Amino acid sequence: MRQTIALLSAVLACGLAGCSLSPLAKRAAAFAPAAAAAAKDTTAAYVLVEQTHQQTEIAAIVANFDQDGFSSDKLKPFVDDEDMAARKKILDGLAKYAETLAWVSGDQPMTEFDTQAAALGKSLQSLAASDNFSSLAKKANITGTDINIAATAVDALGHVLIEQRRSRELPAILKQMDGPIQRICALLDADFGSPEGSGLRNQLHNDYRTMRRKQERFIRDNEATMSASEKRAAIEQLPKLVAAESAADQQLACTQSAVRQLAAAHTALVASIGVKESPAFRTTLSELIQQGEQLHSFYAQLPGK
Amino acid sequence: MSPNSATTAAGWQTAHDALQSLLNQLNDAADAATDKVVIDAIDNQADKIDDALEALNQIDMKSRTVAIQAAATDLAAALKQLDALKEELEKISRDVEKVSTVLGTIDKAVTQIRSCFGI
Repeated sequence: MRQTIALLSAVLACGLAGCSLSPLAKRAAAFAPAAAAAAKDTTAAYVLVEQTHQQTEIAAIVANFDQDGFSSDKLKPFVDDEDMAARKKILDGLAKYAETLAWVSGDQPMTEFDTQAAALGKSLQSLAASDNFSSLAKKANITGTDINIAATAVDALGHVLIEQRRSRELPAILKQMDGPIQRICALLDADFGSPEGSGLRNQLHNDYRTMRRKQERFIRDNEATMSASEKRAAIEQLPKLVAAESAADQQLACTQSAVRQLAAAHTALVASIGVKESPAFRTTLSELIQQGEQLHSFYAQLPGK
Repeated sequence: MSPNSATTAAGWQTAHDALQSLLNQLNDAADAATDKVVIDAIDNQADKIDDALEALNQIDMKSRTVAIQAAATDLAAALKQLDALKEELEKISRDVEKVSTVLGTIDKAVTQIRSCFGI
C-alpha cells in the first residue's frame, strides 16, 4: 500500500513538472487584468463625456438665461438611456470575461484545490488517530507519513486534472471569444470617433468649445458690473477650459488606443495557442499595459481628481 | 456593413463635416469680431449648429446600439463556455472537500453506532 502511494505520488509529481500552468494559461492570466482595466477605463470615458456635456448645458443655461430663461428640457444626457444601457452591458460583459478568465487561467483553482487537499490530509490524520480507527490503521500498517503521502498524491492528481481541463478547453473558448471581442472593440472604437469627425471625442471637443463661448458671453454681458478681480477670475477660466479640453481628449484618445490594443492582444493570444513562446503577444500586451499606465497619469491631471 | 448602410454612413459623415466646418468658421468669426451685437448673433447661430451636430452625433451613437446589443449576446454565449470551465475546475476542489467532510462525519457516526449498540 505504502509503496503504491509513494509510486503514484512520484509519477504525478513528475507529470506535474511538465504541465504546471501552461504557457497559454499564463498568457491568458496576464491578458485578463489588462482587459479588465481597458473595460473600466472605457466606462470612465463615457462618464467623462456625460459630465462635460452636463457642465456645458449648465454653462449655456447661465449665459442664455436673460434671453431664453430656464427649462428642464435643456438638461438631457448626450447618450440616451437605451444606448447607454447597451454599452454598459457590453462593458460589464468584458469585465466579467476578464474576471472569469483570470480565475480560470490563474493560480486560484490550484490554490483552492491545495486548501481542500490539505483539509483532506487533516481529516485522514484525525480519523487514523481516532479511537474507532487507530487499531484498524495499525493493523493495515498505515502511518502518519503514509497519510501525508496519500494527501500529497491527491493534491498532485488535482493539479494534473485542473491543468488537463484547462489545456483541453481554454483554447476553444479563447477562439470562440475572439469574434465577439473584435466586434466589440471595433464598435467601441467607432464610439470614440475623432475630435473633428464624430463620436465621443467630437462631442467633447464641441462641448468644450461651447463652454468657452458661453464663458466669453458671460464676461461680455456682465463686465460692466464686474469688479477687476471678478473679471480676472472669469477670464482665467478660459485658458483653464483649453487645458481641460486637451487633458480630457488625451484621456479619450488613450482609452481608444487601449481598446484597439485590447483587440490586437486578444488576437495575439489566440494566435499563440499551441506555441510555447509568443513575442507578438508579449509586445501587444505590453503596449496595452502601457496605454493603461499612460491613462492613469492623464486621470491625475484632470481637475478635481 | 451593407452597401445601403455604407452610403448612409458616408452621407451622415458629409453632413457632419459640413456642419463642423461651419461651426469652426463661426467660432473663428466670433473670435475675430469686436462688436458685441455681432458676437452675440454669431453665438446664437453657433448654438443652433452645435445642437444639429449633437443630434447627428446621437444618431451616430444610436446607429451602433443594435450591433452592440448583438455583440453582447454573442459575448454572453461565449462566456457560458468559460463559466462552465470555471464550474468544472471548482467541482474538482468541491469533490475533495466532500471526501473531507464525509471522513469527518464517519468517526462521529461510528462512535454513535457503538454507543447505541454498546459495542
